[in-house]
Amino acid sequence: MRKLILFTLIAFSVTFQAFSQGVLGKKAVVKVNLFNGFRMPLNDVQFEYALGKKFSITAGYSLLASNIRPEYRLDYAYNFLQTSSQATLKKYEYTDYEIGYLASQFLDNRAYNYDDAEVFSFPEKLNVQSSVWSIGLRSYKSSIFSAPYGRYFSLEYLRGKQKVTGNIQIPIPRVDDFVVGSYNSYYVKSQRKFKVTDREINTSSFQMNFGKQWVKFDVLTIDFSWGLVYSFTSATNKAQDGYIASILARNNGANFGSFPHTKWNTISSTIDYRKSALGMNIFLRVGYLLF
Amino acid sequence: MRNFSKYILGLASLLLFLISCSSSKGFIFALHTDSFQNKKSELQKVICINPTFRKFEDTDFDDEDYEFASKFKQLYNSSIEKYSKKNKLNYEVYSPYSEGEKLTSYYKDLLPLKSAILKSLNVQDNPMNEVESNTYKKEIIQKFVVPTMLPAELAELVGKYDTPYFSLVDIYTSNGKSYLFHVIVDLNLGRIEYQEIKGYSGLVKKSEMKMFVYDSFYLLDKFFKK
Repeated sequence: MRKLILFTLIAFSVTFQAFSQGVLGKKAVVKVNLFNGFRMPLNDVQFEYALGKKFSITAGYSLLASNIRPEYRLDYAYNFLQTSSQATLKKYEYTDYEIGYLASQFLDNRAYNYDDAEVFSFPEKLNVQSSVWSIGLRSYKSSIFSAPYGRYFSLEYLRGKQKVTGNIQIPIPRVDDFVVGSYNSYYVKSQRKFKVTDREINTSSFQMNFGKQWVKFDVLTIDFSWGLVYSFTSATNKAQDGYIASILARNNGANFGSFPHTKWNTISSTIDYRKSALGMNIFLRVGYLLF
Repeated sequence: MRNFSKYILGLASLLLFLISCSSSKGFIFALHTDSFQNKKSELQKVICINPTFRKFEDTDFDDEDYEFASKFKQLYNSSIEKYSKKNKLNYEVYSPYSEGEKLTSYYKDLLPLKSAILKSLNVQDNPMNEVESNTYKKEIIQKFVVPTMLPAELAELVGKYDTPYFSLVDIYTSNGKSYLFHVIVDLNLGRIEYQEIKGYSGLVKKSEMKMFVYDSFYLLDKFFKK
């Protein structure tokens, strides 16, 4: 794959042509996003510069605040359980398999005995403040008109942090409950309330879009694009953060499906909790041709 | 599952590579005589004879849509003067929309010159007469063309207009294909010095028309040896 990327870069450098006049002599565009930052459009800004007749690079920064109402999902609970169980693994000398078995048994019993809507509700919203920067490359289709005009395919890498604040109640049993509690009692003990203040969750995503950019009135650009986004949030060592990360991965960006996994970091002896998700995105940007 | 991001990245870079390699429809030709590339200093003033913007209903260029084209005619004339100046070239437009002396001299002198240029272009063996085939690649090809001579009596116009350089900048557009022709003739030598032919698969509207004109002058400015 690295060779392929390298080869693509070489192909770019070869195909850069000497003449790159831009659109009416202007190569740089500054754009604001109308969809994501509808409340504050200036908070999502992208800069584009035409490198050749066919290619351009983009750089962007977005500072967005949003509210998320977390949903209860079985896989969230399962992952949380698995993560928190690692901490007491040594204490009770349980194996991964046994912990997994207990977790699945718990989930089966819960689904059989209790009503989801009553017990597992999240009345309060999580406030999320995300600051994300992005860098990308665009390949324009039209070769007659120069780069910031026409249909294009873009690749973008985004990275940033999401600060989360709020109260959430996670109805998951402690691992102790499995061991010492009786069959009926562990469920009652399980209610936990987390107060989340300024938790920082790392987020990064990779998106590829197809789009078209129009130029109107010599200086105004309209940029519409849609495509796929693959995002993953990560938290280190804290089970609560892991749970929040899993909520963010699904609710704040990608929306098709999610792929959880946890990883034991042997160097720092901590648990890396990571949640990845695949989704679709859509953008409408309005810009101004600068120079 | 950890490899999933690698697959996505690999797929995306493969797509980008394929798209960057794919050729799109459209071409640019810049044909010139051997000496024209050194004549930037002499090209102080160019008379542009009635720039025409014509829109056709079909790709065979049969039924003309006068209503569509009439919206752009004034804008087209003004954008030629505007964008030529931006690219350090001085084009003066003489057309039926001009006023006073310009209008009379257009009908008296320049209309016969335009027909003479078009006639000589028709007999010349160059790709301009074959652009309908649309088989040319998108790259710019600059090559020497055997120049066709213009009638000698037209050389009288050089003194009257203070320049030997006269040009045609025309756009023909339809829903499927669009072309731009940019021709410069030297009446002192009586020959066609420079031709640019640009093809585009799509309809040329207001913003595309401006870009067509700007890019043409940009290419001409970059073409000269500094």
